[in-house]
Amino acid sequence: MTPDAGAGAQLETAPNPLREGSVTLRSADPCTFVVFGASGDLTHRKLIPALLKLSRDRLIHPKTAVVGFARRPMSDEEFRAEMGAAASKEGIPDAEWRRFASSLFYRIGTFESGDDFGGLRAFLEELERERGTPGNRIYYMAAPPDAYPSIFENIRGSGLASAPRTEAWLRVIVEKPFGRDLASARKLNSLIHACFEERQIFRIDHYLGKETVQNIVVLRLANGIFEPLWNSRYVDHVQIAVAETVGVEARAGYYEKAGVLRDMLQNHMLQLLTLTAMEPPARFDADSVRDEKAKVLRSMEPLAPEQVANRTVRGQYAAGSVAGEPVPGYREEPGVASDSKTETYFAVRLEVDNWRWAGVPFYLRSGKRLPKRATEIAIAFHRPPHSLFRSMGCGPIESNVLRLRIQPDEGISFSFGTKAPGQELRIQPVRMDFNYLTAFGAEPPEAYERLLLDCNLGDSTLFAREDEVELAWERVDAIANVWETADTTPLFPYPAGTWGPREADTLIERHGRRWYRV
Amino acid sequence: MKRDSGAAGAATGSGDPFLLLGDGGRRPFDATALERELRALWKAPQGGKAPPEGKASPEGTAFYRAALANLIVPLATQDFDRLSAVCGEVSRRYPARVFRIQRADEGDAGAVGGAGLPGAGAARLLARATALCHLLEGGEGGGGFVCSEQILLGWTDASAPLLPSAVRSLLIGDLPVILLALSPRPEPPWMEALAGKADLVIADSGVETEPSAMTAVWERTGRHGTPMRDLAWARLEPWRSLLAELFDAPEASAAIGSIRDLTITYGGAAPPSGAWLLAAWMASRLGWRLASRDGTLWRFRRNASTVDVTLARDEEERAPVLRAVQVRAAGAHALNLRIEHRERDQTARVEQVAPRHSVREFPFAHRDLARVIVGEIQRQEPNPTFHEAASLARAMIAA
Repeated sequence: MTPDAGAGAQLETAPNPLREGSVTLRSADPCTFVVFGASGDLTHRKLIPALLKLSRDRLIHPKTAVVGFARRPMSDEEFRAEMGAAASKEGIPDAEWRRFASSLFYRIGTFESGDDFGGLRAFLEELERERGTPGNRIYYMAAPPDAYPSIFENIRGSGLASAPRTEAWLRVIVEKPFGRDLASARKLNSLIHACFEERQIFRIDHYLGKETVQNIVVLRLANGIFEPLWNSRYVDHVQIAVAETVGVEARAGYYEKAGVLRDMLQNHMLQLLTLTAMEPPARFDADSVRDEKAKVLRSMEPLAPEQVANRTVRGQYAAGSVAGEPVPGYREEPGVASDSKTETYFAVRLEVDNWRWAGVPFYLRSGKRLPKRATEIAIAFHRPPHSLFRSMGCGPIESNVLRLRIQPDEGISFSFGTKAPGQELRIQPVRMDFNYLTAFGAEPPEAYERLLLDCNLGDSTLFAREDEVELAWERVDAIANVWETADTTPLFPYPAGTWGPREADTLIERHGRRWYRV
Repeated sequence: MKRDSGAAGAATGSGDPFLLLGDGGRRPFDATALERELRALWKAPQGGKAPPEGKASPEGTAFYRAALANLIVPLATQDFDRLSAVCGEVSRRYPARVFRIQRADEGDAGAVGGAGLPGAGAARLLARATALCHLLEGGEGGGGFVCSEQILLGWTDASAPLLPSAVRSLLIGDLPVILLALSPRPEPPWMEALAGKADLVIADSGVETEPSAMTAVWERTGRHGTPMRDLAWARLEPWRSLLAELFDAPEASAAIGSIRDLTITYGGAAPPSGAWLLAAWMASRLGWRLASRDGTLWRFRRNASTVDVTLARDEEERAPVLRAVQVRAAGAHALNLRIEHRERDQTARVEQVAPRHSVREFPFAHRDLARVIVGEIQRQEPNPTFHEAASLARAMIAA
């Protein structure tokens, strides 16, 4: 992927002849990661382990520093000790951790205090002077979204929105959820744009950092056999499933306002859909890829109210058991209203109304407290036009299905019919299976590693652009608004540990199809 | 977990749990019997107790047979232990059907089943089928053993001519054939036949001490139209990346046309192949034309100016490694920088004397041999940069 120029003026120089034939096209600039909301879960669960591995693999510059900024009083040493647990879980040697830990710093501050941001600025400038770094910074928004207005206002007010030197760059990573509807997403975009240009903004969706998600594009466009089949002539329908076994956990406050539709469809699932359905981009760079993804969203008309009634199903988990353990129903979870109308499951039939996909339904479903954790895209091909073997007693022939497993056990499988051994002619579906773990002997890198490195390199291909986010919200709002204001789509209960309400099966079965087992 | 005590020590270079399947011992080569033996492994990977491939064993562990390539690895007696460990680690990172080829009358008898030397001197090959399984603990699906089949072939002077046909009979048909030719020359006579049929040959000019042998490695390129990789070149990658990175800086970039002097300091008795290749790479990338040689100094021309390249020995360093690179430029864009690296260190020290003084530590991605090999197997694209450098390195040696 070709990184864009990044923010801030880069010094233009002649092409470096020593780079010709080099595998690494560009090395990461030294920079300072400033994590707003550093005392939260995300920092020690994802960000620090990812940066630690990048540091261990020498993929980020050795002068890279991490500065945590949060309300909770903590010294540098206490912050390091807290983050050190992440290192021990990753099995990183002590010496490596100590080297990395010496680059971790912590600043106490509240998001509402301009003085605290002024102090942060002075601290960063001093740190950059001491470390001899040019002032490149990545601001990571790991705080709750309701803190964003204060953070961005104070970033602007304290001068942190300007690079300390002309040759330095500034970038900002914004975690999901990016708003809760179109209006709030637009407001948030305006807020951030008051500080940063679009090319400086990296809206993170960790699904895009997963190896298999990136492999969707490679599978389609680096293999001669798939792309010719990748259209309505050969594809019967597409299924995208994101299943979770967990319940609402400690996120009831957020989840009660969001629900699974906003939590999953707007970002992860529509990203998977657009990568699956997009046209081949002119180039494999950030804007070309994101242009094509945005085109797919534009080709999906927001559902009209009557379509919402016919093409969507929503559900909420009741008490049941998952993996042999009894679990409470959603309304019995701590922090959840006893009459909550929040959906924990949805299924929807969408259509991409363009030349390639006209008439091919995309069935999407996601839910909590389902039997297993799995994310999968299944491309189901048309059955053969003529049933040659029916006269010999063979039943209906199954569709060929190409499955892209995003998690767990990332890989790809293809099912096809074959003759079962024996005197009679029986056709049975079998699978060819590719698994990252067994094929490459190692698990792919964590999504956050890839995304943090890409941001450091200024490559925004795997981050959502403003128009993508807003187009996605427009389509989600069309469903959510009907669900919230009309009674045409009931909230069906389903026992925890099952694959959702029966009505979701009806949604797909009425067209002669069925959900694939994930 | 069951461990094989025979070849186990030499089978894998990693500290990860592994399992060696197959204990039929070494027998006269019979392709059909070997295939049958391999199939039998997957019917019962743990001595008849476990169910077939991909299914959970009674102990709850799944076995996966995996192969992305046919990997042929001739093992010279003196390199047996070192390269056996590397083989194990390569197959962990890149599952393959591995053909380990060794002398039957000198090799490690234990590693081929402890069957003694029944074939010594006879005009027949000896063989043994095993599978080296590595436990993957990380998978969310519960991990399991990923197994690479290994066929151990023992040869004698009399049976050596049979090796190429024996290997051919057992290749997995639709997978690439990769020959790892990692031992110093002279090569056994059958190597040529194996190389000719391979899709990729991975050699290592770094194990050679004589410049003529290094040249021979580089000359193999293109002889059969078979792509060839030189691990010595691959090991230079951190040096090349670092040099490229240093010349990304505007003041160094501006000095490229004014470079007057390049000194590469090496350890060991004579310049290792990496020293030749690095010097030749710099020269070929920067458009220097070889003009003359005076001992350890080569003079190049670039436009109207000259560049002196010196290969200098570090008397204190015994290992044949690169120790330092110094680049000096004169005139308006004066530059003097020196990179120093100690073997296996993950950082390099860069001292810049001009235009202003600074000392910095840079990451230096030193990789173990197995990682380097897997990196080269996975690299698909042709490498004209290497070929240009190798060609110029040969010219420097010949000058």
